[in-house]
Amino acid sequence: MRALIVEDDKVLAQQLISAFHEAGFAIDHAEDGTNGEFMGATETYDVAILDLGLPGMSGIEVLTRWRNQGVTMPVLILTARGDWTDKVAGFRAGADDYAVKPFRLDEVILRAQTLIRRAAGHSRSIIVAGPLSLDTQLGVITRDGSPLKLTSFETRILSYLIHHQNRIITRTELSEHLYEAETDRDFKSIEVVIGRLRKKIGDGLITTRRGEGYVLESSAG
Amino acid sequence: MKSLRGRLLLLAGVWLSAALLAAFLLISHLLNQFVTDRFDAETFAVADALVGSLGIDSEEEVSLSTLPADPRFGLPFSGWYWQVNSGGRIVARSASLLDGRLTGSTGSYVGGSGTGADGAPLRVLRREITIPDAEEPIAITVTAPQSEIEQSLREIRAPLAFSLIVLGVGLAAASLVQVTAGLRSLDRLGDDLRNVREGKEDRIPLPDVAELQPLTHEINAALDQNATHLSRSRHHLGNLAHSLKTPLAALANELPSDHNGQTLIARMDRLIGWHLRRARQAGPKQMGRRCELRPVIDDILLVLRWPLQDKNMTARIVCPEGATFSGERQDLEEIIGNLAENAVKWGRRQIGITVSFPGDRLVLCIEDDGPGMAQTDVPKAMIRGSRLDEFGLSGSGLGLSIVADLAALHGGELRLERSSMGGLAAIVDLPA
Repeated sequence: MRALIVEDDKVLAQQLISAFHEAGFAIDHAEDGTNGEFMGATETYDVAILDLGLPGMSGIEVLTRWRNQGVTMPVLILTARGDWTDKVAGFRAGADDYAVKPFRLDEVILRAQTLIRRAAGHSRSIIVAGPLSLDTQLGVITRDGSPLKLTSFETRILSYLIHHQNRIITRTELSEHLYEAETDRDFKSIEVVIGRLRKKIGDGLITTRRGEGYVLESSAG
Repeated sequence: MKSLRGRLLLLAGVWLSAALLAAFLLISHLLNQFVTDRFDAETFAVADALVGSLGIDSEEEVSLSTLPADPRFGLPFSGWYWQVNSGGRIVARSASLLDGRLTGSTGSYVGGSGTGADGAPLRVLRREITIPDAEEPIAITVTAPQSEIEQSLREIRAPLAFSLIVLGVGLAAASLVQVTAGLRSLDRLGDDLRNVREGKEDRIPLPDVAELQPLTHEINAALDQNATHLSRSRHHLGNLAHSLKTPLAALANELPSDHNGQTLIARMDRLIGWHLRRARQAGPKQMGRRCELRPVIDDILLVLRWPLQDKNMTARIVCPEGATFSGERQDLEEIIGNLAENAVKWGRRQIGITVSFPGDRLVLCIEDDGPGMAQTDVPKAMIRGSRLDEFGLSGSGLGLSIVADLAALHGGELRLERSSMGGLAAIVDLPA
């Protein structure tokens, strides 16, 4: 999963980045509204964490521009005032959830994960795909009830596939949700990681469609 | 004098009285002239007739061939007298003089004054002429009774005074009507201003009266300025909140969750929020704002969409078409937002938002089918920062006290009762 964090306060931004990294996210960070707006409109993210009080372009303006350009990713707004006017303005501009400062990092991550799950069309916090299940609140993937030991990159790939199970995911799409903007995208390493994943979760769950991409089939296994 | 109407009327009264008095004096003077001229003309005519009949008789004495025929000169002491002198000797005199004689200053004049034999004042005409063959100059004196002149003047002055009084009363009535009509525009302006204060209008409509338009423009400009200042200070308050709470968030995340500092951070956060809200509410209540209820309810439900959906709850809304709240949208958002959020948090299957207008009140009822609240807990729930949900559910605990403060600010109150749905009913009762 890949998230965009738009927050001007360096300390808070760094805390958010670390916490999201720890939760298995690929993170891009923008320090002001103008950059954040550009990144959100041009890159693909699973969720955006957007501070409303940004220098330059305000958070509300960034969000409005994204929505006007057809950017549909779920957006979690961070508001300092915490009054309903701020929340209403955020939601009218197209926000999906809010967190009021000072917030707890785990709460923001939980909310971000909930938004991703909902955006993929899952109403329950535990997404089941055949023998696999992903607890979106804890970020834990289990097979037949026992937790799998996965690296952060493996978790990122597998949780994306579980969110979008039974759908062909092209390598390009997958790479867009795995890598941070500054990282070189490498289809070879995706193939290597998919191979490792197959060994860990068992063969037959992830199938390769030649020339198209990968599918995680919930009926398999 | 404090009353504008009183001042205008007093001024109009003083001016009217002065103008009418001046008119009376001027017209009286002209009438006086006119009347005395008429009397003078009469005495003049008699004098002319006497001059015309003067002659020298066979004994070389001055004599009169004919006497004036006017019967008034025959009535004794009538005041109408004539007398012809030659030197110190009386040549002839009117019958009205009987044996009396007219005395007075010498020379020719009109409008002199004198007295008759009975002491009555007279208006005197005297003319001195010389005629051929007479040894001495001849003096002709004709008089008219001053009392008759006065009588004539009195007869004219009375109707004149009466007409002027009628005119004065008419003009006074007219200025009363004028002042009242003029001041009615001010009354209307007052009504318009009250509408703004009560939130029925944003601005004052431009009056028909040209003189009041600059005032109206000024008042509207002041209203606009007030709104600008308010929104600017709110903006600054927002910035202040942001600049304090962002580092506070960073600090909270920097410390371990069981660190003593976390309690202090939570307290600081509450204090910042509380004082920001107080500052906002203590500011001038923005005048002239009225906002529709339904869109605000919809906006709040938009914010609460996911919590409602996650708990599989429904919201039952009853709101009359076009219902409005006399105040700012921000305040209404805060009231409905906090109460609806509580209802969603505590409710099981549904929440209800009902707007009604009993009499001249606006009653907002936000209820749920949750566990409700014991009456003994109600006072505690209203206290700043107190939370009844100390089981880890999120919420600052300020919600109810904010709503209670806002309701009081708008001249109403917040009541907590038992809902017919089974849970808590938060009722905000405001003037409509």
